[in-house]
Amino acid sequence: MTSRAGEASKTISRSKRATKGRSVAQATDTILQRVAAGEAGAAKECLDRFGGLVWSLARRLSYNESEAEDAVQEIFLDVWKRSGRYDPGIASETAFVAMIARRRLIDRRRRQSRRPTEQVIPDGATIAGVTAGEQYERCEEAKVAAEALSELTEDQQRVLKLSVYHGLSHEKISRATGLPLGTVKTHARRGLMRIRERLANDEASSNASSNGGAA
Amino acid sequence: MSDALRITDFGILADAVLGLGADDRAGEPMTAADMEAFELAAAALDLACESGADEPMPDRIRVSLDTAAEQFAASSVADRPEVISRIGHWATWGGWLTAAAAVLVFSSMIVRPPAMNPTSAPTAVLMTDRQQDARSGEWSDWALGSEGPEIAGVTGAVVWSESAQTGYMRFSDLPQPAGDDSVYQVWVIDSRGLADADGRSERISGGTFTAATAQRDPETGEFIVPVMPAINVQGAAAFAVTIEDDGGTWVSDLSRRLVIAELAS
Repeated sequence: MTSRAGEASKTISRSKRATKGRSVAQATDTILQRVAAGEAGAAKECLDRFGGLVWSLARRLSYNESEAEDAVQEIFLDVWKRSGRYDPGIASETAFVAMIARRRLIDRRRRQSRRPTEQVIPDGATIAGVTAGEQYERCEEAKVAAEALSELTEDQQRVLKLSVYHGLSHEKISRATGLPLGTVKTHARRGLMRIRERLANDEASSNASSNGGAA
Repeated sequence: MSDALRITDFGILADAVLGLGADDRAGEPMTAADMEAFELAAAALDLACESGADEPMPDRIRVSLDTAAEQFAASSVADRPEVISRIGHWATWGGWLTAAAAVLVFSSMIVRPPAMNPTSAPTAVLMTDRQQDARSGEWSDWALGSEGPEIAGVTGAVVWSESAQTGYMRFSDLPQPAGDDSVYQVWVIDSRGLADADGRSERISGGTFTAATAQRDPETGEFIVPVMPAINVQGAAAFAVTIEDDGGTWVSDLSRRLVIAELAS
């Protein structure tokens, strides 16, 4: 697992170097880079653009609405502060914001894991087959991920969706699906690695096309 | 951050993103770039699975965030603290706190519960005491039911200004709690939290501190610690202090309590 992850990381590192100049040239128009530059109104524009996305993520991955309210404020503070690290050559703004939001929400859930909670297994989650949503075209990464997801086995798709989208622990997924815990872990790990590799390949292809066109 | 970090340095994320347990990941290297790449993949998958339109953010949250956005924009870019990896150390706050004090951005910048800056205590006292809406409360031992605090008998007071979003605490003593890596963490509690018998809800972190990072009042010998809430505070009703592992926590289980003070209205 690790060596493949490492290779994927090298791929993304290479493509980052290859697109660095292009990224700087493109960066002036992104909301996040304008936030980082201290442009007046950019932080509010960030709220306009990503408020619904972050709120939806927080609602889904928080235990209750009060937690979601706290989380969404933490997330935007984090997004603004990390805006200087955003590189449009690596990820879309939507994917970057979603990544930070999920990171913060996962962190909160882990810290609250000792609280007694009732977590409802989502309706239909245990049935075979998962169809990607209709909103994936909002960023290229989601489109690639949807394509990669469709190429996985039904069990892998089911496990990944329960884990990543619904935020269930692997133990809960094992109970919900009847799959052995080890199988759940393997499906989640390999499935996510597959998506990650597809993203890296897609990025590398885009960079190669871009560099070829420039030459 | 070194690329030579091993996966154990990313234990939280590795577990959450990949579902790896300690047995699975022992000794296997994973870099920060690896981890971020997997996080991005998970985010992309999450977006791909979303089947409905985004819910609009409630107005009350948007209003609060608009205020935070204005404060963020008003701060000097050069003075913003460097964001260090969430897995690494806390952000540093020295120059930031000093420069930002005048524009009252305590609530707008914090990514993790910050460590208190000992040099800022006089500023916190000065800023708070000159505010017309400054309120104070005396510390008392924080008991929950029949369980007393981990350390009893600490006295002092907290002073807080809602308009300035700043305050400071005085402590008669700050004994080193058990555990080499333990720190004190202050919590801001609003009226909803006070209504909750055990104070488990509606708390906002005000930062972490230790006796070593606090300043001493040369006349009284009291420890002085500024309050730095993690987000904008509205309707603060009480302050409380817990003992947490180094770095603090966003959500305390309140198993290690110190003191609590209700603000006079």
